[in-house]
Amino acid sequence: MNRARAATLLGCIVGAALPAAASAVEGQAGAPLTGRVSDASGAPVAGARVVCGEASTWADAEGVFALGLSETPPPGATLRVEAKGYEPLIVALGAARTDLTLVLSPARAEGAGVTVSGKRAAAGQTRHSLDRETLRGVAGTGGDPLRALTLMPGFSRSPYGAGRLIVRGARENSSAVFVDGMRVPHVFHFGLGPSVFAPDMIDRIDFYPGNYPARYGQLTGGVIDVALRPGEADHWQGAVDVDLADAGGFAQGPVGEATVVAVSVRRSYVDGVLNAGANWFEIEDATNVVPVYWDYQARVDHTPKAGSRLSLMVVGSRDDLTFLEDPSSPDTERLTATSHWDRIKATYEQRVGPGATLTISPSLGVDTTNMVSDEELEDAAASEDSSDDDRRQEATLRVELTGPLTAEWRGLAGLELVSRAPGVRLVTPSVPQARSGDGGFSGRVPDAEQRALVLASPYLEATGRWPFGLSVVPAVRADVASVDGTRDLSFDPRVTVRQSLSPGLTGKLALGRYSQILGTLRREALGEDPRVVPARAWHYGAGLEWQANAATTVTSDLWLSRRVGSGRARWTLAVDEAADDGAARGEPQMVYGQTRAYGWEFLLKTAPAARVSGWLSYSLARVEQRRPGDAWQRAPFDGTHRLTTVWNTRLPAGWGVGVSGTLASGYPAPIEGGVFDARAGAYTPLRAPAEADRRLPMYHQVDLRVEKTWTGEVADTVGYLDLINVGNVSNTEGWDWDYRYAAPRPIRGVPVFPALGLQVRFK
Amino acid sequence: MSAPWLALGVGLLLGVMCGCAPDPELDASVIKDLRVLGLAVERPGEVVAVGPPDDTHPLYVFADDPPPTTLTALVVDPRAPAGPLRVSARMCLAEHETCDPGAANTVSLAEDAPAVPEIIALPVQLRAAHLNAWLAEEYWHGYDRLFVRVELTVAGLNGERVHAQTVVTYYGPTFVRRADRGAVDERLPLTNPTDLRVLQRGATVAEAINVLADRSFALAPGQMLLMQLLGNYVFADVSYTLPTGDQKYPRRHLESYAEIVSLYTVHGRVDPPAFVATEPDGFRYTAPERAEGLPDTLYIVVHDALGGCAWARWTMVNAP
Repeated sequence: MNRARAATLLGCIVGAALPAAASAVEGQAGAPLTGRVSDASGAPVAGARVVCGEASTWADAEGVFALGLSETPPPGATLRVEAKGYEPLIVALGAARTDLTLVLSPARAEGAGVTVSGKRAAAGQTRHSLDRETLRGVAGTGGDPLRALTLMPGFSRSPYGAGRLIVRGARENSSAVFVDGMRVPHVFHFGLGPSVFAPDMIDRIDFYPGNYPARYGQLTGGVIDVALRPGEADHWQGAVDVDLADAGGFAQGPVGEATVVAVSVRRSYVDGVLNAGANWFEIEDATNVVPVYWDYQARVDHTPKAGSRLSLMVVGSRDDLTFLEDPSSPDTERLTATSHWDRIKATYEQRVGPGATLTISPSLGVDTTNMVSDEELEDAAASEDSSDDDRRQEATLRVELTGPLTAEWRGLAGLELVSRAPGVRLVTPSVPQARSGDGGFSGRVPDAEQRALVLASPYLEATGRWPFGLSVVPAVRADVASVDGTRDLSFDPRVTVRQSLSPGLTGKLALGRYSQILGTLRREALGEDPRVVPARAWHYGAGLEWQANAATTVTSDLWLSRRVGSGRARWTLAVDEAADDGAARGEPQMVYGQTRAYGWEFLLKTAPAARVSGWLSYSLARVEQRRPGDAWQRAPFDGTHRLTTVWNTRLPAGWGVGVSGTLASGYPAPIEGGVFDARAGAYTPLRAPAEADRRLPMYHQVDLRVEKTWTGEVADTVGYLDLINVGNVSNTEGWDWDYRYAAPRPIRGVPVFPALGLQVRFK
Repeated sequence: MSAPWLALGVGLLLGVMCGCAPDPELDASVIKDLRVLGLAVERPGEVVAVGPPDDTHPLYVFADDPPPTTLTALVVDPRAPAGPLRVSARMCLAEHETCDPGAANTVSLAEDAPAVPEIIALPVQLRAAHLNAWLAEEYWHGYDRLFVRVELTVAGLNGERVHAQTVVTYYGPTFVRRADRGAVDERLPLTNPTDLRVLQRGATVAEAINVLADRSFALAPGQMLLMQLLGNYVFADVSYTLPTGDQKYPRRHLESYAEIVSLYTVHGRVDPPAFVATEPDGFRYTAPERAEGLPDTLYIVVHDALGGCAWARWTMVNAP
C-alpha cells in the first residue's frame, strides 16, 4: 500500500479532520544509528536486539546493525541492547550516532535479579516503563509484574495486599488497564490473587499516572498499558512456572519463515490445596468457598513482506468462586460467582512511506459476570432468553496513521470506534437483610442492565522536536458517545513540552483535559439536568528528568488535578413500564461531585554496583473530594506519603537476594462514632470533621526474596522463596467497629506469608 | 466481576479462612447503657402546596408551610431509669452525611429536658422558607419531593451523648402520592403499650409478630409474588407531572416497605435480634440464668424504610 492509498483510506475513515496529517506524510526521517555489537573478545553477537525509543532492530551475523529512526533522538536518550546469554546493555546516546561499538557482558547465571532499565521518556508524557526482567524479580510480588509496578511512584498502596491499581489516590474506575491498547475489565484474579498475565508474556508495561496520550480515552485518572511479548524468531523455547497457588506454561518460537508464536496458559489449584489441607488437618467445612482461576494469552506475529506486519492476539481470564453450603454432601446447594473476560485483537501494520506507518486494529471482547445458584441456573436454562443476557460484548476498531510531517514534526492521526452491546444482567439471589445501613434498599440488585453504547473517538497528536532540545506534543481527542439515542460529546485538548536543560537533564510541562462520558450509566431524566455532565479532569504537571549516567536516572514530577462530574452511580430499583414484563431492574443514579488533588513523585533508579540494582521512590498525594453543599473531605485513598524501595543483588553460586520496603501514611479513617438510623433499626457511621484528618496508623512492611538458579544445558531452573512482610509487622488496615461504632478493633494486614515457586526456562 | 461481588467473595473467603465470629459482648440487642431504640416523625410524609418557579428554583417553590409534626423517640437507659435528659434535634437535607449545627442549611429544633425518659416528644414546625432553601440546594429536585434528615442528640446523666436519625419526606402535589394508594397515611401508629407476659423459659413468641405482618402486606397476588422474589418490596405508581404540564416518564417505582422488627432486652437474649415482619417464625426469648421470678424488659421496635416507627414494651417474668 503506497502512501497516497493509505492517506486516502484514513481520510475516508476520519473525514475532514485529518487531511493535513494524511497529506503531510512526507519529509525526512532522522539519521540511522549504526554500529556493531560484540562480546568482550570482539566476537560479533548475532541477533542482538537494539532498541531506541519506539524503534528497534536486530544485529546481523556480523553483529552489525542499522537502526532507522523517524526522528533524531533527543540528548540523553538511551540505547538498549539485549541478546540471549548476555547482560542487557543500556547506554546514553552522545554526539556519536554512527559506528557505535557496543560490547556486551556475559549473562550472570548466579541469579535472576532485577535489571533496572532507564526511564523511557516519551516525547512529552510522564511515563514509567519497566521491562519484564525488571518486573518479575521484585521481592514481595511473587514474580508478578503488575504487583511490582504498584511500587512505582504514582501508585497508592493497595490495602490488604490486594491487587488494586489506585493511581494518585483516585478511585479505581478513573484509571484502566490496557493490553496493547485494548482495554480490559480487571487484571487481578479475584482482586486478591496474581495478575491475569503470565510474566513471560509481558514485554513491557507503560504506566502513565496522568497526562496520558491521546490514543487512550474515557478516563480521568491514569493508564497502565501492558505490551505482550512477540515471539522470538530464532528457535523454540519455553518455560514452566509452578508455585503453591497455580501452574503455568509458556512457549514461543518460529512457525515457518515469517511467523512467530508466543502462548501461555495458567491454571490455579487453590481449590485442591484447600481440600488437601482440610483433609490433612481434618478441618470440617474448610472448603465452603472454592476459588478457581485460569488465564491465557497468545500472540502470533506474521511478517508477509518487508514493511508490513500482521499480528493476532488473544487474552482472557476466568474467575469462578463457588460457595458450598455443605461441602461434605455431593448434593449440596452451591452458589457460583463468575467473572470471565476474553479479548481478541488483530493488528495490521503497513509502512506507507519513509517513517510512516498505517495500523489497523479490530478487536472483539466479551465480559461475563454473574452470580447464580444451581436453581437459578436451571431456571435460566429453561427460559428462552437466558443465553446471552449476562454478557457484555464489545467491538472496537482502531486505525492509526503515524509519520513525519516536516523535518521537525511527526504526526499521529487515529480513530477509535467502540460498539458495546447491551445486556449485562446480574442474576443474583435474593438475600434479605434485616438491617440496612442506609435504611433504604435492603436486598440485592436483582437485575442490572447496561445500555447500548456507540463511541467514536478521533484523535490527533503531533510531536515536534528541535535540535536545541525542545519537544512539543500537542494533542486533541474528541469522544462522541451515543447511548440509547442520547449523545455525549467531549473535546479534550492536551499539550506537553520537554526541554533539554543540560546534557542528561530535561524539564517538562504538561496540561490537558480528560473526559469520562456518562456512557451506559446515563439516564434520560438525569441528562436533562445541566449539572449532570461527563466527568472531566484537568491534569497539570511539571517535572525534571536527570540521566546522571548510564545506570542512574532521577525523575521528579509535580502534579495537580481537578475533577468534576457524575461518574459514580448508586442504585435504586425501578420497573420499566414500557417493558411491561413486571421485572424490576436496577437503575443507576448519578452522583455529582468534585475532586481536587496534588502531589509530588520522585524516583531514583540506579545500579550502584555491578551486582546491585534497584530504585527508591517517594509519592506525595493529597486528594480531597466533596459533593454539592458538603465540605471538602479526604478521599478514601488519600495516602499522602508513600516511600518505597526495591533492591536486588546477585550473589555467587547462582544465589540472588532481593528486598523491598514500603513506608506509607495511613489511609483516612474518618469514622468517629455512630448514629442510630431509625429507618433501619441499625447504626450508621458518623464522620469526623475533615479538619480532624483521622487516619489509620502508619503502614510499614519489608519483603524478602531469595532465589537460586541452576544452569543446565537444556534449561535453567530457578527456585525462589518470597517472604511477604518478613518482619510479621501487624499493620492496621482498617477498623472493625462494634454495632454502634463506639469501640473499634484493628483489622490487621497480611502477616508474614511465604510464596514458594519453581521456574524452569528451556533454552 | 463487579466490585460488590468481589467484596462479597473476598469477605466470605476471609471469613471462612479466619473463622471470624461476632463478639457476644457486642450484642446490639442487649441494652447496657443509654440507647435510642426508636425515632419517628409523625407524620413522616407530608404533601405541601407548590407555586411557580422563580430564579432560584427552576421547577417550583413550596408555597405553604408544612403541617406541624412531632418528633418522638424511645430512649432507654437501664442504669438511670428516671431523671432529666438533655435532648436537641436538627433537620437538614438528607443528602448531607450529617446536620452541621452551625451550617446555614441546618434548622435547629427546640431543645428539651424531659423529666421522664423513655418517650420524648418534640414539636416540629418548619416554614416554607426552610423547604425552599433546601430545594435550591437539593440535587434530585426533579422528583418533586424532598428528603429531609432529622437528627436527635440525647445527653445522658453520665455525660454520654448518643445520636439518632430518621428521614421525613415533603412531597409536591404533582407527585402522584402513595397516599392515593393508602401507603403514606397508613403508617404504623405510635404506641406504647406495656404488656406483662409470663413465659416458660425458652418459649417461642410468634403470634404477636404475625399480627404485624398480616396488617402490613395486604397485596395483590402478583405483588405478593414480587415481594417474595425481592424481599419485601411493593410497587407504588409514581408517575408525576411537572408544573409545566410535562408528563415525566410514567413508571412504577419499587419502594422499600420492609418492616424490620428489632428486639432489645435488658438482661435476657433474643434470637434473632432483628428480622423482617413477614418472617413467620417469630423469635425466641431466653431469660438470663438465675433470673426466675425477676422481671426483664423486652422492647419490640418496628421500623419501615420510609420513616414509620412503632414500639411496644413487654415485661417478661419467667416462670420457674
